[in-house]
Amino acid sequence: MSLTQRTTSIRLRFRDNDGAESICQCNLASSVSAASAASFLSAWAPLVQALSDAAIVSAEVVIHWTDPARPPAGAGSDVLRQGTFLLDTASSDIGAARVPAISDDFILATGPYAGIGIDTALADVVSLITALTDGIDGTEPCDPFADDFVSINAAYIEQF
Amino acid sequence: MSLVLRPVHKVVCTFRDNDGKEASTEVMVPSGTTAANAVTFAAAIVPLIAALSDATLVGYNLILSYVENAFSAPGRSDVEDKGFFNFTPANGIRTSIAVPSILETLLQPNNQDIDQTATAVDDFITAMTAGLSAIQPASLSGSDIVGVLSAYKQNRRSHKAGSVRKG
Repeated sequence: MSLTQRTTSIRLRFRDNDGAESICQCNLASSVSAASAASFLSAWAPLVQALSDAAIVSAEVVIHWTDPARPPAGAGSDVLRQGTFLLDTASSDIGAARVPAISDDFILATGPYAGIGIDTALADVVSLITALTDGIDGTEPCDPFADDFVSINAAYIEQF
Repeated sequence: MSLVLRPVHKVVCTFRDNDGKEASTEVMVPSGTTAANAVTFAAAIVPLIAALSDATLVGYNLILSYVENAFSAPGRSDVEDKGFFNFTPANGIRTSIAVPSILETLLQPNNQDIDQTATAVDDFITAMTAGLSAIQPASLSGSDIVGVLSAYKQNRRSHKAGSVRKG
């Protein structure tokens, strides 16, 4: 895996009185830090808003990485066959993380959940679950309400 | 105008399988996480996800999202009326930005060309060509924008809310 950072996108979403929406996008060089890109957005948005009578309703800083030399996908891979990890949050809700085209290597081969459950004892699976529940370098993954994931609830395969 | 951070930053990974189908998955972190820490986190979590997949990782995005929670659009606004700015980057390959629902008061009497002497337009063009807070806007290929070639109104279709067309 050799990921290369591309230009960063600054996106402003406008909405008019009909409810129609459109995005205005500006690019920044990949050398601009994420924090600086966020500062740029804050300074740039009012300048663009001053030109428009539609309203800015949301904005994004999107930092892109791509793998220009990515290996081919596995022969039987199917991105609609996903590994679903249900995670308990700090507020006793359940959130989810998904892995597209989960490899068969991680699916239980025996027991009542054979062919369905993900083997949460395998090292690569443990590494992901640990990162999701304990965080990485002090950064804790969370659900859409910013509630931290604290433990794995269930892990299984799903076909979409 | 007050854009505020949404509750979470998103790390969105895109995978492609051997049929060419693509799917994305995302991991969120609280938006209280600094941008630099979010970048570090993204670089660490993506390989852990990719290690479980037999599709190929196309790439990933870190998205810092903001929302305006108090807005209104005047009665005549139409995002299909774009203010189209044609810029020249240092590498000479043109790039453009479209401002949705350009103000009619910023148009020349021909109702087509944008008045580049108007203060708001001049401020915008200066930011695009001379930079803003020491950050220089660039083309998609990363070449600094150095000049404006033309600016005019252009009508392009857009979508209703929830289905967005890039300017």
